[in-house]
Amino acid sequence: MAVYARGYRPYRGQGRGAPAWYVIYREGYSLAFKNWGFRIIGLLFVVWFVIWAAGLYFTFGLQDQVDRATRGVGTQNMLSAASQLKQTLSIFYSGVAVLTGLLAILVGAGLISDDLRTRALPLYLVRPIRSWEYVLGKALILPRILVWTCLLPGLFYYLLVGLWQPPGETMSWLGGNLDIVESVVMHFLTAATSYTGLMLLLSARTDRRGAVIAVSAAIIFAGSLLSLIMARLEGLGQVMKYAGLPVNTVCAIARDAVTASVRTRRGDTHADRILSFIPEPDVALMIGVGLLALGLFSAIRRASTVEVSA
Amino acid sequence: MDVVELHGLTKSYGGRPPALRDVTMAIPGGVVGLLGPNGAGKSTLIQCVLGLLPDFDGEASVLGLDVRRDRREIRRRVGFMPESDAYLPRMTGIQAVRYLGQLTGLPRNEALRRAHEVLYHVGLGEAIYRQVKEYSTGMRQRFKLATSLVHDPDLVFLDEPLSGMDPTGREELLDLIRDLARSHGKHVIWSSHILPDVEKVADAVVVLDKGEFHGRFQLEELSSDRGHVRLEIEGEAAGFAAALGEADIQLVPDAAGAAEAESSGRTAWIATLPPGTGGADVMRCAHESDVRVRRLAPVVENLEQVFMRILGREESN
Repeated sequence: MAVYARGYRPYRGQGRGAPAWYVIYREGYSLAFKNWGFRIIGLLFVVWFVIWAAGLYFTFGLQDQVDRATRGVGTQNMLSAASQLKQTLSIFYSGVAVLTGLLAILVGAGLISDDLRTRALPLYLVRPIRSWEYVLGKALILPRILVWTCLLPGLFYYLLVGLWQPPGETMSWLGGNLDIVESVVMHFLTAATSYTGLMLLLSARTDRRGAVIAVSAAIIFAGSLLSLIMARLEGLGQVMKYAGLPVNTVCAIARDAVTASVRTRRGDTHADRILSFIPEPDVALMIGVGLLALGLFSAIRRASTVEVSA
Repeated sequence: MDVVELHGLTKSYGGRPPALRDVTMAIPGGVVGLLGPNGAGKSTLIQCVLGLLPDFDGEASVLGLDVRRDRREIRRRVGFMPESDAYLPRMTGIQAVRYLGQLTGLPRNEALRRAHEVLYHVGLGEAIYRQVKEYSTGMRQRFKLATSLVHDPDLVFLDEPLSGMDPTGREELLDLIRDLARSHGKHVIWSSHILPDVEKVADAVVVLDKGEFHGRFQLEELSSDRGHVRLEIEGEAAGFAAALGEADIQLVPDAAGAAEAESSGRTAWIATLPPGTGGADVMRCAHESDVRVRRLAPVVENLEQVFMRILGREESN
């Protein structure tokens, strides 16, 4: 007879566990890695990251060593290093934006709709947790993933280029280019708030994961395409930039135009025409926060009762 | 001790007729069957007292705690097995029960230990590492029971716990429920419309229909003499009925025995004897009316018959 087959045993423990929102967040984050689509996209992201890390090395690290070997002195200067890094970040984040959009859709689509589909909501709500704790736990999953894709790579490249500066100039270079850090952080915050808000909003509306994926993909990617087409029109773009703020914000993220590239590529006429269609970083962040508030409100409202799924 | 007390509980969904109408009742401890046909309001009642449906009128308390004010404390002390097919996506049985244990406040390691214990206890020991979505219907019922027990609650609400289970599984689950109540002092409130199952385990039943409370009684009352006798006679029925009427003994035709009695040339009734009267009074009336009594036996109803009688009587009123 198995040890546990002896019958029901009362629970005598007195310990208090972790807060419910942390348990939900941690479990949701680890479950995300079980998704094959997530794993494939994660792998693509790693490849993309390594390619541009290598690109940076050959641009700065290796070139500097060659110069030192052949000329006896490094050729880098602060301006070119910063400008090259911004260019690299711009291209890197353009690719990341597509991958991040896909990750957000894959992970975010099931945040709440999966629990509605499998009728798991009563299993949660009958526990001593509040609806905001349930939603907070769900809402933290996507930002945690975006830390890996949007925040840490940019900071890593920044530190890498700083370390490749001539001896004794690393700290001054890092201190003199904090605007890059600011851009990377803004990009992360905007992506995290916008994507989380959008996915919570859609996921709390239906128990059909496929519908959430279709609608969110349409908003993120088709909206981005529309933004590009409309950017070629004169006049209307300026109006549309604010008329379609939520969509354009997501488009901006998808095109990596919100922060880093906006700040680094303004002055380029062609880029300016395209980017004029996209909100400024501060505005985009505010919209992201608004979208997040809307998503949180909608999800908390949905998670406060089982009336629909009853 | 009453584990659930309701005063004027009313719940409506939108503009539809109320799912619960002014329900005032108390549910005692032990194993209690919450009975009623489909749509009677059983699940709604459970969801109201658990705070899953927050917008209702009236007062309710569970284990002496106010449903609105002490919702979190109630949920710590109560387990719930929902009727609907519920599971956590992409989780194995052990992961899901451990996770739900953590959400009830157990530390991770203790939740994992409890998850093992309750899953083995409900008979899922061989399937704890399988995805819950791969479980059969019967296994999912056991899984839901495990989720409701992982934090060792004082009171467990079971909403149609045996639906979809094969006969062997039903018996096993009935044994588990009986054991929980008898050996471990758990209170169980069991919502069902399958009366024979409830009859095997429950101490008492509460009857709901169309959102209204229709009565509560102990199951041991079923086998006791309730003053009803089954009566079959040969001879002039009208005179006999009049004589019984004078003795204040009520008669209704015995629908169940009518066909058999008629084929033998008899008349069958169910007689209700008022307090202070007995079989001797029936025999005296028969002697005076010159009829022969062929059968005089107490009526022992099963739960289904009582249930139908309660609902039928209320409807005729």
